[in-house]
Amino acid sequence: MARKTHNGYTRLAKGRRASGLVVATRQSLWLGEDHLLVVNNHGYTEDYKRFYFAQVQGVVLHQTPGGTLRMGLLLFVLLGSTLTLLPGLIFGWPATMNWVTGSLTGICAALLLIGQVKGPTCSCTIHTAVQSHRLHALHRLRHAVPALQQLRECIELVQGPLDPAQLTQIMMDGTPPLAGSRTRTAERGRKPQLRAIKTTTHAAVFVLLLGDCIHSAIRITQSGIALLAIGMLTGTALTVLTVLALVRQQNSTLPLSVRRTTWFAAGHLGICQAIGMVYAIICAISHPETSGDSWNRMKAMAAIQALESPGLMAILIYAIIASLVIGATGLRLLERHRIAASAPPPLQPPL
Amino acid sequence: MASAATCPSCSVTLDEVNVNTVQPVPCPVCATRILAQWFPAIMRSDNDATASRPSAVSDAVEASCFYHPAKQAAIVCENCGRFLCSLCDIELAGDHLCSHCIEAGKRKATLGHVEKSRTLWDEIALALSILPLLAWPVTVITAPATLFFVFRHWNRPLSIIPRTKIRYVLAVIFASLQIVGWTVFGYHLLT
Repeated sequence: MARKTHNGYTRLAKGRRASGLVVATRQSLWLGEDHLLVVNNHGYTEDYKRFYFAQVQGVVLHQTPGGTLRMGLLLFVLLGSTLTLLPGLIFGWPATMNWVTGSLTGICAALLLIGQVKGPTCSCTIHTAVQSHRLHALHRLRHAVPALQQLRECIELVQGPLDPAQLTQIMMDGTPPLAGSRTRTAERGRKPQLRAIKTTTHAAVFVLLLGDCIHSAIRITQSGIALLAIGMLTGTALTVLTVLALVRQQNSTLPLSVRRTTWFAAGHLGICQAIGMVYAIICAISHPETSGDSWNRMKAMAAIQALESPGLMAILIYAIIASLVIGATGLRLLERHRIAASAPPPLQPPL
Repeated sequence: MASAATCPSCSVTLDEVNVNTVQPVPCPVCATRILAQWFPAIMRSDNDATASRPSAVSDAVEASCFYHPAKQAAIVCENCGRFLCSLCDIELAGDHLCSHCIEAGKRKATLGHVEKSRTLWDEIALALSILPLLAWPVTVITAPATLFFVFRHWNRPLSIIPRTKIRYVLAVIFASLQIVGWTVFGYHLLT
């Protein structure tokens, strides 16, 4: 809700965006008598940008996946930390470990709650005849839509509403290029050539993820060099197949949900690789006698029992949850896509 | 940057039903929720700009532009009274001004509509009163300096947008407390 002020300006929105390591720039939007004022506060200075209502050609807002990705990541960490905390409390692991996982769980839960209240993220751009400007203050859909309605009312008071007939004419004549897009609109505005692809690679990725889930579950109770080798082979195959799937899904008819799930799989693999490297370094430090002998180091790593090592248990629990969720979701989405693709086309009305 | 009629996520051209809606609508291809608002200014073509080109002076008695003597005067600068052609006329918040007056207004900060940035002296004063506490011995210098800074800049304009002088007040309070602290410390040291 906008707040009336005595200074001729009415606040439309306020937001925050990071623009550096030290100074965070805060942006706010204010409605003046005949213009929109964008205020960028850099801490000790402010700079202003004015967009006159008579010159605004358009405002475009679209939802961005940033918020959803953050929420998904937080959910993963929350599940992982919760499922590490529970056996920690049951088996009586060190109190420090329980405090760390407990704090992590609490922080993640709080951040998830805040994210849920704030709603999905979005990006908003204002266009005039000579420029386009991103409105960083409008970064949450929940606040951006009402703010945009208010801005629209102000602009329409000056310019009047766009007649539906004019809109139809613009659409028929072709979209006029907007500011800042004169060079790129021609190449980006074209409808990309979408192609149908076989989903075998994606299916292989998701099936392998489920296999990795089973492998991790077995690793909790069993140990041995064979299990370690299988895990390494699965990881390598998964990495290769995921990269292949990501390349193939470019400009394809695959639904966005499947494409995003593949990206989640890639993210999960990246996290696993990072954790694996850290774990290998820790093992090398804790077993100095294996220095320079890779085979013995691998044997030492394979001999570690998950039930005796809280760190390994946490990694395995995370791997089980992430692989199961991504693999099962991906397979289900692929199946749905296959059914939709094999359905007969709708009947054409008789001429 | 994509055009208003294309999906910012997948660049697919939007249909008419996806533009000027009240609530965000999903893109037909990538399902990203979009709210695209177009206004009549988008209909203006380059021809509108060429229509206001200044015309040449046809008669010796006809008023000409101060900056372009060969061009016909179209309007008078509301600040300095110079005759201006349509090329030199700059409309700013309903006023018609020449470029010279705008430049002078920017320099003297008398034109609020062209001001691009401002220094927030109150923020600096507040920082000057708080941040030195991290290395507290320096407050013996910074506390009086804060008071001087506040009184020096008290009457300078703050921000264009509404802003109170609470930061100045807080800076004075913190600086005064530091000075009181140093006075007490000095008194105990001497007695």
